[in-house]
Amino acid sequence: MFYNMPQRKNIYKSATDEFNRIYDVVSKYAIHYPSIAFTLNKLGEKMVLRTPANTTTSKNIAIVYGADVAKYLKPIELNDTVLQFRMNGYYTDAPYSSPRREFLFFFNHRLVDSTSKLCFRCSVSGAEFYTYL
Amino acid sequence: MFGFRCRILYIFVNISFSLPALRDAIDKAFKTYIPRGQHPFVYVSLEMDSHNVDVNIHPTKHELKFLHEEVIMDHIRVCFEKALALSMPAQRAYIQQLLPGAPQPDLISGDSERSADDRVYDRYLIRSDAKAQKIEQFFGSSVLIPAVSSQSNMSTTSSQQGTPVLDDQSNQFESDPSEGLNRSSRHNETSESVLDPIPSTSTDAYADTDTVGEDTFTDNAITASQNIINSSLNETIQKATNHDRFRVTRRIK
Repeated sequence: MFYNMPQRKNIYKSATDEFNRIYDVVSKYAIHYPSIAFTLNKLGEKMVLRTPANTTTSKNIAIVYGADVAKYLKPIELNDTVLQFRMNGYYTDAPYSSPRREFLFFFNHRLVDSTSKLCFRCSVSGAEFYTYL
Repeated sequence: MFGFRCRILYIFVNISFSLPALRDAIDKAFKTYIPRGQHPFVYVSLEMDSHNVDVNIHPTKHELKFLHEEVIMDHIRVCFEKALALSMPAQRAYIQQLLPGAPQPDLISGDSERSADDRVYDRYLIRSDAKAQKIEQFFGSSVLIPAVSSQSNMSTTSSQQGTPVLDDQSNQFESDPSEGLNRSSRHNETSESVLDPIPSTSTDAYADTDTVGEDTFTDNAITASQNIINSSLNETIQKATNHDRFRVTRRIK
Protein backbone atom coordinates (compact mmCIF):
# COMPACT_ATOMS: atom_id res chain seq x y z
CA MET A 1 0.00 0.00 0.00
CA PHE A 2 2.74 2.45 0.95
CA TYR A 3 5.17 0.87 -1.47
CA ASN A 4 3.19 1.72 -4.56
CA MET A 5 2.15 5.20 -3.42
CA PRO A 6 4.64 6.86 -1.06
CA GLN A 7 2.40 9.98 -0.90
CA ARG A 8 0.07 8.03 1.36
CA LYS A 9 2.84 7.69 3.92
CA ASN A 10 3.85 11.33 3.61
CA ILE A 11 0.42 12.48 4.81
CA TYR A 12 1.19 11.31 8.33
CA LYS A 13 3.65 13.87 9.55
CA SER A 14 3.85 13.58 13.31
CA ALA A 15 2.60 11.37 16.11
CA THR A 16 0.38 14.11 17.56
CA ASP A 17 -1.25 14.71 14.20
CA GLU A 18 -1.87 11.02 13.90
CA PHE A 19 -3.28 10.87 17.38
CA ASN A 20 -5.64 13.78 16.67
CA ARG A 21 -7.05 11.94 13.69
CA ILE A 22 -7.57 8.83 15.75
CA TYR A 23 -9.20 10.82 18.53
CA ASP A 24 -11.51 12.48 15.99
CA VAL A 25 -12.76 9.18 14.61
CA VAL A 26 -13.08 7.42 17.98
CA SER A 27 -14.92 10.30 19.64
CA LYS A 28 -17.38 10.56 16.77
CA TYR A 29 -18.11 6.88 16.84
CA ALA A 30 -18.51 7.07 20.59
CA ILE A 31 -21.23 9.65 20.07
CA HIS A 32 -22.97 7.57 17.45
CA TYR A 33 -22.96 4.39 19.54
CA PRO A 34 -24.01 5.41 23.06
CA SER A 35 -24.72 1.81 24.03
CA ILE A 36 -21.07 0.86 23.58
CA ALA A 37 -18.31 2.03 25.93
CA PHE A 38 -15.28 3.60 24.25
CA THR A 39 -11.87 4.20 25.78
CA LEU A 40 -8.89 5.83 24.12
CA ASN A 41 -5.44 5.67 25.66
CA LYS A 42 -2.30 7.43 24.59
CA LEU A 43 1.03 5.70 25.19
CA GLY A 44 2.73 7.05 28.30
CA GLU A 45 -0.24 9.27 29.21
CA LYS A 46 -3.41 8.79 31.13
CA MET A 47 -6.77 8.04 29.58
CA VAL A 48 -7.82 10.61 26.99
CA LEU A 49 -11.37 9.58 26.19
CA ARG A 50 -13.81 7.39 28.04
CA THR A 51 -17.52 7.01 27.45
CA PRO A 52 -19.58 4.70 29.64
CA ALA A 53 -21.83 2.00 28.23
CA ASN A 54 -25.59 2.42 27.90
CA THR A 55 -25.71 6.22 27.98
CA THR A 56 -27.41 8.68 25.66
CA THR A 57 -26.02 10.50 22.65
CA SER A 58 -26.41 13.92 24.28
CA LYS A 59 -24.39 12.78 27.31
CA ASN A 60 -21.61 11.56 25.07
CA ILE A 61 -21.62 14.88 23.19
CA ALA A 62 -21.22 16.63 26.56
CA ILE A 63 -18.23 14.38 27.35
CA VAL A 64 -16.48 14.96 24.01
CA TYR A 65 -17.39 18.60 23.21
CA GLY A 66 -17.99 20.03 26.67
CA ALA A 67 -20.97 21.20 28.69
CA ASP A 68 -21.25 24.43 26.70
CA VAL A 69 -22.44 22.54 23.63
CA ALA A 70 -24.66 20.21 25.64
CA LYS A 71 -26.49 23.16 27.23
CA TYR A 72 -28.03 24.24 23.92
CA LEU A 73 -28.40 20.77 22.43
CA LYS A 74 -31.76 19.86 20.89
CA PRO A 75 -32.88 16.64 19.20
CA ILE A 76 -34.24 16.53 15.68
CA GLU A 77 -36.02 13.74 13.83
CA LEU A 78 -37.38 13.24 10.34
CA ASN A 79 -39.03 10.16 8.85
CA ASP A 80 -39.93 10.16 5.20
CA THR A 81 -41.86 7.16 3.95
CA VAL A 82 -42.10 8.39 0.37
CA LEU A 83 -38.39 8.91 -0.18
CA GLN A 84 -37.59 6.06 2.22
CA PHE A 85 -35.10 7.68 4.51
CA ARG A 86 -34.84 8.35 8.21
CA MET A 87 -32.89 11.11 9.87
CA ASN A 88 -32.23 11.72 13.51
CA GLY A 89 -29.67 13.92 15.17
CA TYR A 90 -28.82 16.78 17.49
CA TYR A 91 -28.19 20.43 16.84
CA THR A 92 -27.34 23.46 18.94
CA ASP A 93 -29.71 26.38 19.31
CA ALA A 94 -29.14 29.89 17.99
CA PRO A 95 -27.35 31.24 21.13
CA TYR A 96 -24.51 28.80 20.63
CA SER A 97 -22.01 29.31 17.85
CA SER A 98 -18.32 28.60 17.50
CA PRO A 99 -15.75 29.55 14.86
CA ARG A 100 -14.88 25.85 14.53
CA ARG A 101 -17.14 23.79 12.37
CA GLU A 102 -18.36 20.72 14.22
CA PHE A 103 -20.40 18.66 11.84
CA LEU A 104 -20.88 14.96 12.47
CA PHE A 105 -22.55 13.02 9.72
CA PHE A 106 -23.27 9.32 9.76
CA PHE A 107 -24.66 7.61 6.73
CA ASN A 108 -26.05 4.15 7.41
CA HIS A 109 -24.12 4.14 10.70
CA ARG A 110 -20.86 5.01 8.99
CA LEU A 111 -18.98 8.22 9.58
CA VAL A 112 -18.94 10.59 6.65
CA ASP A 113 -16.07 13.02 6.72
CA SER A 114 -17.38 16.28 5.32
CA THR A 115 -14.72 18.64 6.62
CA SER A 116 -11.44 17.21 5.37
CA LYS A 117 -9.42 18.82 2.63
CA LEU A 118 -9.59 15.61 0.65
CA CYS A 119 -13.30 15.87 0.22
CA PHE A 120 -12.89 19.45 -0.91
CA ARG A 121 -10.45 18.35 -3.59
CA CYS A 122 -12.89 15.70 -4.76
CA SER A 123 -15.77 18.13 -4.92
CA VAL A 124 -13.69 20.57 -6.94
CA SER A 125 -13.31 17.91 -9.61
CA GLY A 126 -17.01 17.10 -9.47
CA ALA A 127 -20.18 19.05 -9.96
CA GLU A 128 -20.10 20.49 -6.42
CA PHE A 129 -17.38 22.89 -7.45
CA TYR A 130 -19.87 25.68 -7.99
CA THR A 131 -21.20 25.57 -4.45
CA TYR A 132 -17.84 26.82 -3.19
CA LEU A 133 -17.78 29.90 -5.39
CA MET B 1 2.41 -0.71 15.61
CA PHE B 2 2.31 -1.11 11.88
CA GLY B 3 -0.73 -3.35 12.12
CA PHE B 4 -2.53 -0.77 14.23
CA ARG B 5 -1.88 1.99 11.77
CA CYS B 6 -2.85 -0.22 8.86
CA ARG B 7 -6.13 -1.13 10.49
CA ILE B 8 -7.04 2.48 11.09
CA LEU B 9 -6.21 3.38 7.54
CA TYR B 10 -8.33 0.56 6.27
CA ILE B 11 -11.38 1.86 8.12
CA PHE B 12 -10.73 5.46 7.18
CA VAL B 13 -10.56 4.78 3.46
CA ASN B 14 -13.67 2.71 3.51
CA ILE B 15 -15.88 5.02 5.46
CA SER B 16 -14.84 8.50 4.49
CA PHE B 17 -17.05 9.70 1.68
CA SER B 18 -18.02 13.28 1.41
CA LEU B 19 -21.41 14.86 1.18
CA PRO B 20 -21.02 18.63 0.79
CA ALA B 21 -24.62 18.98 -0.34
CA LEU B 22 -25.89 18.08 3.13
CA ARG B 23 -23.46 20.44 4.80
CA ASP B 24 -24.61 23.26 2.52
CA ALA B 25 -28.25 22.47 3.19
CA ILE B 26 -27.74 22.68 6.94
CA ASP B 27 -25.57 25.80 6.65
CA LYS B 28 -28.37 27.44 4.67
CA ALA B 29 -30.88 26.61 7.41
CA PHE B 30 -28.64 28.12 10.11
CA LYS B 31 -27.61 31.14 8.06
CA THR B 32 -30.25 33.50 9.44
CA TYR B 33 -29.65 32.53 13.06
CA ILE B 34 -25.88 32.41 13.38
CA PRO B 35 -23.42 35.19 12.49
CA ARG B 36 -21.12 34.87 9.51
CA GLY B 37 -18.02 32.84 10.17
CA GLN B 38 -19.62 31.03 13.09
CA HIS B 39 -20.91 27.47 12.99
CA PRO B 40 -23.36 25.44 15.02
CA PHE B 41 -22.73 21.98 16.36
CA VAL B 42 -24.69 19.48 14.29
CA TYR B 43 -24.86 15.73 14.55
CA VAL B 44 -26.89 13.96 11.90
CA SER B 45 -27.46 10.27 11.36
CA LEU B 46 -29.06 9.35 8.07
CA GLU B 47 -30.39 5.90 7.30
CA MET B 48 -31.46 4.70 3.91
CA ASP B 49 -31.98 1.55 1.95
CA SER B 50 -28.65 0.40 0.53
CA HIS B 51 -30.09 -0.18 -2.95
CA ASN B 52 -30.77 3.58 -3.25
CA VAL B 53 -27.14 4.46 -2.55
CA ASP B 54 -24.16 4.38 -4.86
CA VAL B 55 -20.79 4.55 -3.14
CA ASN B 56 -18.75 3.61 -6.19
CA ILE B 57 -18.63 7.10 -7.68
CA HIS B 58 -15.01 7.71 -6.77
CA PRO B 59 -12.17 5.16 -6.80
CA THR B 60 -11.25 6.05 -3.21
CA LYS B 61 -14.92 6.17 -2.18
CA HIS B 62 -14.71 9.80 -1.20
CA GLU B 63 -17.99 10.63 -2.85
CA LEU B 64 -21.44 9.35 -2.33
CA LYS B 65 -24.53 9.50 -4.44
CA PHE B 66 -28.03 8.44 -3.62
CA LEU B 67 -31.42 8.58 -5.25
CA HIS B 68 -33.44 11.82 -5.04
CA GLU B 69 -30.53 13.57 -3.40
CA GLU B 70 -31.76 17.11 -4.01
CA VAL B 71 -35.26 16.42 -2.73
CA ILE B 72 -33.93 14.71 0.38
CA MET B 73 -31.55 17.62 1.06
CA ASP B 74 -34.44 20.03 0.68
CA HIS B 75 -36.52 18.02 3.15
CA ILE B 76 -33.69 18.03 5.68
CA ARG B 77 -33.18 21.78 5.26
CA VAL B 78 -36.90 22.50 5.78
CA CYS B 79 -36.90 20.24 8.84
CA PHE B 80 -33.98 22.18 10.37
CA GLU B 81 -35.56 25.53 9.52
CA LYS B 82 -38.82 24.53 11.19
CA ALA B 83 -37.04 23.33 14.31
CA LEU B 84 -35.01 26.55 14.52
CA ALA B 85 -38.06 28.76 13.99
CA LEU B 86 -39.87 26.94 16.79
CA SER B 87 -36.96 27.28 19.16
CA MET B 88 -36.49 30.99 18.52
CA PRO B 89 -39.17 32.39 20.89
CA ALA B 90 -37.63 30.41 23.74
CA GLN B 91 -34.28 32.12 23.37
CA ARG B 92 -32.53 32.47 26.67
CA ALA B 93 -31.16 35.74 27.96
CA TYR B 94 -28.88 35.69 30.98
CA ILE B 95 -29.10 38.49 33.51
CA GLN B 96 -26.25 39.19 35.86
CA GLN B 97 -27.47 38.78 39.42
CA LEU B 98 -26.09 40.92 42.24
CA LEU B 99 -24.89 39.27 45.39
CA PRO B 100 -26.90 40.18 48.51
CA GLY B 101 -25.35 43.26 50.12
CA ALA B 102 -23.42 44.25 47.02
CA PRO B 103 -23.67 47.95 46.07
CA GLN B 104 -25.79 48.90 43.08
CA PRO B 105 -23.73 49.70 39.98
CA ASP B 106 -23.48 53.49 39.63
CA LEU B 107 -25.05 54.00 36.22
CA ILE B 108 -25.93 57.67 36.81
CA SER B 109 -22.34 58.78 37.33
CA GLY B 110 -21.40 57.22 34.02
CA ASP B 111 -24.14 59.24 32.35
CA SER B 112 -22.95 62.49 33.95
CA GLU B 113 -19.41 61.85 32.75
CA ARG B 114 -20.69 61.39 29.28
CA SER B 115 -22.76 64.60 29.45
CA ALA B 116 -19.69 66.53 30.63
CA ASP B 117 -17.78 65.33 27.60
CA ASP B 118 -20.38 66.17 24.97
CA ARG B 119 -22.75 68.82 26.30
CA VAL B 120 -26.06 69.55 24.59
CA TYR B 121 -26.28 73.10 23.28
CA ASP B 122 -29.43 75.24 23.48
CA ARG B 123 -29.95 75.21 19.75
CA TYR B 124 -30.43 71.46 19.85
CA LEU B 125 -33.09 71.61 22.58
CA ILE B 126 -36.70 71.23 21.61
CA ARG B 127 -39.72 72.43 23.63
CA SER B 128 -41.52 69.22 24.49
CA ASP B 129 -43.91 70.64 27.14
CA ALA B 130 -46.76 72.88 26.00
CA LYS B 131 -46.71 74.73 29.35
CA ALA B 132 -43.09 75.71 29.00
CA GLN B 133 -41.98 79.25 28.13
CA LYS B 134 -43.02 80.38 24.68
CA ILE B 135 -41.41 82.90 22.39
CA GLU B 136 -44.51 85.16 22.56
CA GLN B 137 -43.57 86.12 26.11
CA PHE B 138 -40.63 88.09 24.77
CA PHE B 139 -42.82 90.26 22.54
CA GLY B 140 -43.43 93.89 23.65
CA SER B 141 -47.21 94.00 24.17
CA SER B 142 -47.47 90.94 26.34
CA VAL B 143 -44.63 92.17 28.58
CA LEU B 144 -46.36 95.39 29.46
CA ILE B 145 -49.70 93.95 30.44
CA PRO B 146 -48.43 91.87 33.37
CA ALA B 147 -46.33 94.84 34.56
CA VAL B 148 -49.37 97.10 34.78
CA SER B 149 -51.45 94.40 36.41
CA SER B 150 -48.77 93.88 39.06
CA GLN B 151 -48.86 97.59 39.83
CA SER B 152 -52.59 97.52 40.26
CA ASN B 153 -52.31 94.47 42.46
CA MET B 154 -49.83 96.20 44.68
CA SER B 155 -52.13 99.20 45.10
CA THR B 156 -55.08 97.02 46.04
CA THR B 157 -53.06 95.10 48.61
CA SER B 158 -51.82 98.30 50.14
CA SER B 159 -55.35 99.66 50.31
CA GLN B 160 -56.49 96.52 52.07
CA GLN B 161 -53.67 96.33 54.56
CA GLY B 162 -52.62 99.90 55.04
CA THR B 163 -54.21 102.82 56.89
CA PRO B 164 -56.55 105.37 55.20
CA VAL B 165 -53.75 107.92 55.35
CA LEU B 166 -51.54 105.72 53.26
CA ASP B 167 -54.38 105.05 50.89
CA ASP B 168 -54.71 108.75 50.22
CA GLN B 169 -51.05 108.97 49.62
CA SER B 170 -51.12 106.11 47.25
CA ASN B 171 -53.96 107.66 45.34
CA GLN B 172 -52.09 110.90 45.22
CA PHE B 173 -49.01 109.06 44.11
CA GLU B 174 -50.86 107.24 41.39
CA SER B 175 -52.29 110.44 40.03
CA ASP B 176 -49.06 112.42 40.40
CA PRO B 177 -46.69 110.67 38.03
CA SER B 178 -49.10 110.79 35.15
CA GLU B 179 -49.53 114.53 35.67
CA GLY B 180 -45.80 114.98 35.83
CA LEU B 181 -45.41 112.99 32.72
CA ASN B 182 -48.03 114.96 30.98
CA ARG B 183 -46.20 118.11 31.93
CA SER B 184 -42.80 116.81 31.07
CA SER B 185 -43.77 115.40 27.72
CA ARG B 186 -43.82 118.14 25.16
CA HIS B 187 -46.01 116.17 22.83
CA ASN B 188 -49.17 114.36 23.85
CA GLU B 189 -47.79 110.90 24.32
CA THR B 190 -49.01 108.93 27.31
CA SER B 191 -48.15 105.68 25.77
CA GLU B 192 -47.46 102.66 27.86
CA SER B 193 -43.86 102.61 26.81
CA VAL B 194 -43.28 105.90 28.66
CA LEU B 195 -45.00 104.57 31.76
CA ASP B 196 -42.78 101.55 31.65
CA PRO B 197 -39.85 102.67 33.85
CA ILE B 198 -42.07 103.95 36.67
CA PRO B 199 -43.78 100.89 38.13
CA SER B 200 -40.68 99.19 39.51
CA THR B 201 -39.58 102.19 41.59
CA SER B 202 -43.09 103.13 42.60
CA THR B 203 -43.85 99.66 43.86
CA ASP B 204 -40.66 99.74 45.91
CA ALA B 205 -41.80 102.97 47.48
CA TYR B 206 -45.17 101.43 48.25
CA ALA B 207 -43.57 98.48 49.92
CA ASP B 208 -41.53 100.76 52.17
CA THR B 209 -44.44 102.92 53.18
CA ASP B 210 -46.66 100.00 53.74
CA THR B 211 -44.39 98.44 56.35
CA VAL B 212 -43.76 101.77 58.05
CA GLY B 213 -47.45 102.54 58.19
CA GLU B 214 -48.28 99.24 59.73
CA ASP B 215 -45.63 99.44 62.41
CA THR B 216 -46.16 102.97 63.67
CA PHE B 217 -49.18 105.22 63.47
CA THR B 218 -47.40 108.34 64.56
CA ASP B 219 -47.31 111.57 62.57
CA ASN B 220 -43.54 111.39 62.40
CA ALA B 221 -43.68 108.13 60.62
CA ILE B 222 -46.26 109.43 58.18
CA THR B 223 -44.21 112.48 57.42
CA ALA B 224 -41.12 110.33 57.01
CA SER B 225 -42.94 108.12 54.58
CA GLN B 226 -44.22 111.19 52.77
CA ASN B 227 -40.66 112.40 52.45
CA ILE B 228 -39.57 109.07 51.05
CA ILE B 229 -42.44 109.10 48.59
CA ASN B 230 -41.68 112.63 47.51
CA SER B 231 -38.01 111.85 46.96
CA SER B 232 -38.84 108.75 45.02
CA LEU B 233 -41.41 110.70 43.05
CA ASN B 234 -38.87 113.30 42.06
CA GLU B 235 -36.51 110.58 41.00
CA THR B 236 -39.12 108.89 38.88
CA ILE B 237 -40.21 112.11 37.27
CA GLN B 238 -36.63 112.96 36.47
CA LYS B 239 -36.11 109.55 35.01
CA ALA B 240 -39.30 109.86 33.01
CA THR B 241 -38.24 113.22 31.64
CA ASN B 242 -34.84 111.89 30.76
CA HIS B 243 -36.43 108.98 29.06
CA ASP B 244 -38.76 111.28 27.23
CA ARG B 245 -35.94 113.54 26.13
CA PHE B 246 -34.10 110.59 24.87
CA ARG B 247 -37.13 109.53 22.93
CA VAL B 248 -37.57 112.98 21.49
CA THR B 249 -33.96 113.24 20.41
CA ARG B 250 -34.20 109.88 18.83
CA ARG B 251 -37.28 110.92 16.94
CA ILE B 252 -35.60 114.10 15.68
CA LYS B 253 -32.80 112.04 14.32
